[in-house]
Amino acid sequence: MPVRVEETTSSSSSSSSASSQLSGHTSPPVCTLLTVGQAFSGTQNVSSLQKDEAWRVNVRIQGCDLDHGYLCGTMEALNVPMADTPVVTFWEGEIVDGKNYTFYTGKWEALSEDDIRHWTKFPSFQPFLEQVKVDGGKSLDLINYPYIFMRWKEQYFVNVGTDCGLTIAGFYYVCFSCTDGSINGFYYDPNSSPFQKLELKSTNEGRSGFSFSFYELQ
Amino acid sequence: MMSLFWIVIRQLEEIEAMAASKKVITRAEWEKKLNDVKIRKEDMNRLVMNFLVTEGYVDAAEKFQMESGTDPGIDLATITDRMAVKKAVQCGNVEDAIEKVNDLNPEILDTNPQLFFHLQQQRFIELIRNGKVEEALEFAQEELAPRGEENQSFLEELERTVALLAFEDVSNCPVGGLLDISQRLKTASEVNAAILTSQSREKDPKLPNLLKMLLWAQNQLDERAAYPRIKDLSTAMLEDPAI
Amino acid sequence: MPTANTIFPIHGPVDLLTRLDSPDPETKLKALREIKNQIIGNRTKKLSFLKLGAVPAVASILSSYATQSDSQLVDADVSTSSIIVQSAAVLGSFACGFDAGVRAVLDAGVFPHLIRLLSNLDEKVVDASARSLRMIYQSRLAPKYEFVQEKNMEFLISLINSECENVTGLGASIITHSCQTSTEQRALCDAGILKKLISLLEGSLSQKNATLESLAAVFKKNPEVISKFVGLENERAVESSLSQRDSSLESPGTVIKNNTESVFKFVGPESGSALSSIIELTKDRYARTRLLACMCLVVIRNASPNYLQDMGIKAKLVYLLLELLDDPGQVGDEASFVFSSLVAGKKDLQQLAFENNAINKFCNQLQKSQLHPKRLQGVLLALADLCSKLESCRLTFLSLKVLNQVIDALTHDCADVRTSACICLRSVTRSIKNLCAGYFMNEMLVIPIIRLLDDPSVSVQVAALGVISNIVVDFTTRKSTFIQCGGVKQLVQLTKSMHSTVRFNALWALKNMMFLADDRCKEGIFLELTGSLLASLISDPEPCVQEQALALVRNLVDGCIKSIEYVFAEDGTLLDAVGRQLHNVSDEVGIQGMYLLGNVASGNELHKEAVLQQLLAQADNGAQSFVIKFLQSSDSRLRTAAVWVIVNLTFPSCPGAFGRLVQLKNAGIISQIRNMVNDSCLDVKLRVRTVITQSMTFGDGLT
Repeated sequence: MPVRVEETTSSSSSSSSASSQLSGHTSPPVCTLLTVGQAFSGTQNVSSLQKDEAWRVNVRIQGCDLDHGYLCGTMEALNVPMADTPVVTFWEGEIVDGKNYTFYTGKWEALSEDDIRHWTKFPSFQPFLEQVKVDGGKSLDLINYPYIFMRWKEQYFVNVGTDCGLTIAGFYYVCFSCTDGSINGFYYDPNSSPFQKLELKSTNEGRSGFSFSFYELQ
Repeated sequence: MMSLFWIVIRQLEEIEAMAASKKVITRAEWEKKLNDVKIRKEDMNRLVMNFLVTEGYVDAAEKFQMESGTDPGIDLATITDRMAVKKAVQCGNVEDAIEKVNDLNPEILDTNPQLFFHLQQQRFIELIRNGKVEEALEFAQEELAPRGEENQSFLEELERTVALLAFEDVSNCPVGGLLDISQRLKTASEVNAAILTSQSREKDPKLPNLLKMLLWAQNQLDERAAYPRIKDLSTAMLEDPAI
Repeated sequence: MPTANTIFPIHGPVDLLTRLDSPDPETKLKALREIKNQIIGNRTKKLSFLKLGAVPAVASILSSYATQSDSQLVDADVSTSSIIVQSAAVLGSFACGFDAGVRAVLDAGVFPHLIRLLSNLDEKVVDASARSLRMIYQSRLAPKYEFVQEKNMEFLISLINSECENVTGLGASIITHSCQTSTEQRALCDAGILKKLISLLEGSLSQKNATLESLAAVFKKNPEVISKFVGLENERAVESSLSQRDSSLESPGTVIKNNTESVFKFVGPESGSALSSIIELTKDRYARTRLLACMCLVVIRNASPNYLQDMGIKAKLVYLLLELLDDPGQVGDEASFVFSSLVAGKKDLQQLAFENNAINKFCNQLQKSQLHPKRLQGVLLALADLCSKLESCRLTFLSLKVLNQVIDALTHDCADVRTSACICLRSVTRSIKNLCAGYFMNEMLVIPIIRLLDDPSVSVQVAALGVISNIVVDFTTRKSTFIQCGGVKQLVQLTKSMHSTVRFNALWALKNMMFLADDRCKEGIFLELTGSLLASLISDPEPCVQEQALALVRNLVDGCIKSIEYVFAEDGTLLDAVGRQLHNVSDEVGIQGMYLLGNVASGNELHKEAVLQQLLAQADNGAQSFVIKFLQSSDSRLRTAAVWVIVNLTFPSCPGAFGRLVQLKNAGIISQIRNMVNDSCLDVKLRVRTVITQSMTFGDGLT
């Protein structure tokens, strides 16, 4: 989700070399609630010292390639004060699987202390803390853990120009619960207010149950 | 000469290892080094034979074989055939050349469209040279145009060639260069190369390449050392280093 | 000696054919030579002589003189031999690179005569006959030579062992053309042909090339033969590499120039083995030989991953093939195809090629005008393989602005070019980032692609469907562009194709289009498809078609809750078709079917009841429900899909939930679920626990 451009805006440095191969039958999903087409909604707290504020946020998963630890989708911020319409951004995600990505970000202006500081905010991360300090989590078996840790990085604005007075320079530390599909996250941008909390729940669009759609690239 | 080349190279390495200042090598030192390099006479003879065979000097090759006992590595009769083809093109007798190539090996022109096109082009040029404009026109339509249709890459050359028809005084027109003897020689050497290739022989003799390498090596060494140098390749005289 | 007064042959084609009939051998011979000189290198002339029936005429001369020559074995007339040589040359030229000619020569029945002439006493006759046969065997129209039969194998070996270059070349060409099965490969290997072929690698240019091609045919997908080959010590290769080692010590120049190569050559694991002879030929001075050597190595690499694994050789192959691409002729055309088979499906090699600027090199080719169709096809396929897995490759391709050239190729005259243009676009459109930005959904691309759905060639149609499948995964509102261009109507037509691959791919495209589609889009597609057509596709004889049809309906009933009603249209024929089909299906089909039922079961009470009835339909007759079979499947994806149906049927706060729970319990489904609380798959385990938690809300419903 975009945040307001603060006085000291740093240029966004995003490099995504994530490769994706989605054709044919790839690895089965770790969790059906985190597959293409799934939608989530909730809020992002953008409070600062001046005032308390929370924006409504909708997220939709659009692409998923577990072999490469890759995920992508859109994020829609609804009541952005300076925008006339909801602001939609496209993001790409790195799944911390110990193989493609570790808990250490190694880019986006995030030092390992920043990483630890954010991950430890998730209670489900606690069991890993010691090992992560050793090797970033490379040796951990995260496959059968009921939480999935990710980083989401917004790449571009879908429906507004870059001159909209908003920035997507930062990224999210994300923790997804496989049990109920709820998502917690913290936005990190050294130039924005710290620890903006993202809270999302799996939505079922007025249904009494869960529905799953599906596509495959050729 | 080959020994000289090796010494130059070795010297290069040595100097590179020592680096910096320009080294001076006297004639005596140089000649001593030259004498240290052993080259087998057979190798030299093979090099000469390679030159004679590739360039098509049959008589000389025969004599050289008798005198030195060097194996030409090929039936010398095939050289005679190849030379006959080359000569026919050089004399403007392209049709004759084509027949001879086909007798030698019918595959050459069937699998080498570019060469075939160049021979047909040469036929056309010879017609123009002999003032047979009407025949040339007919030939262009029947023989050259289809080649351009079959292969787009010939089109440009085709247009340039057919342009000869448009000029009254062909020797003074912009494409008049096609009538030069050099064009015949170019075509002749292309045929020669194709026949050599079909006989699995090198298209070019090794000797000129070695000379090029010698010059290159001397140039490299010039920057780093003063040494007895060969200036005139035809005499291969060592000239004293300027100190 | 022609005195070149008459530039044109005195004799037109018709006249020449009459002269062939002359009883005078001298006249015949002259006519044959003249025909030969007219047709060599000249396709137009070949065609016009062909139409006049020259091939059977020459063939009958060859046959009758061949028979004569048999009967006068001892002292064959000089003119007899000359006539045979000339007529063989004429027939060979007709067969050279000209399919119609090959067919005519084969039809003329001259084949057995040519074979017999290989044992003629006159060397020139043998040479000319072998050359003609070689021409024939270079065409795919040549008859397959059944060398597995013992007598034929002996003959083939005699060819390979011949002193005559054209005869050994013929032997190699026969192998290239006729060696297709692993049995045939093994037979050649057992007959000791490999050793002989290795020695031919040191023969003449044409022998080397013919041998490399035949080796590739013998190696293709046969690791067993390859390991035998690699085990063969090539004595001459060892010898020559040793002597080269000595000379390279003497000549520092070579060492300086080829340092890495020589190091590789002497310390490499393949040193001295037969394989090194082939590796050596990648440095040959003739481009064609280098290409064929590369091809051989690629075939070996693809069949036996154990060999040629070090970075050096991989990088070298990439480098060499990219260099060969610059050859303006046939070698350059074919280099792309060899390159494709080198990198296809292999991410490490694609990455290596990417780092060697391969994308730029191939894109530069596309910028050139008037590319030969073969080259264009090869370049497009190479780009397709390069962009198949790595996003970095796709982004580079897109940045080079050659998309328009690829789109132009969609309307090329040659069907192979159209197909490869589609395959290239299919790879490039795998870039989700660009798909999400709606980059590919524009009329410039969509209109020509939709036109290809009418293409007379099925492979073009299928390839075009591949591109469409990708570009309709569009998250912006641009799906309407595709609909407005008439795409949906065409796709629906193709679901009725008699080719199952076309049905399969058309449904795949429609399925992707249905993904997250808005209500209007769904309605448009459904009206076109109709419930009855969908029901029949769900019961298609081909499982892969069933799978796509079910997935399509699964997406149809997702999203807005009222879209569930589609499966109840026409008295619920669609839902019944699904239920019926699921009784006996593969895992893949089962997965899509269960998600479909799960999506329906996430609706209202009516929807849930209808799904329950489908699950219990068989159970009523005392048989086990298919859902129990799915829950017991070894495929965790199928177990997951099946549990989701139960989660939705027992979803709390629905009035009928308790009743459904009881029915599920009576059918044995709940106890099956209870056995799965510690399922090895986390996803299954979590959903099973969801079902159990939900049923807790009804008190003791489970015990």
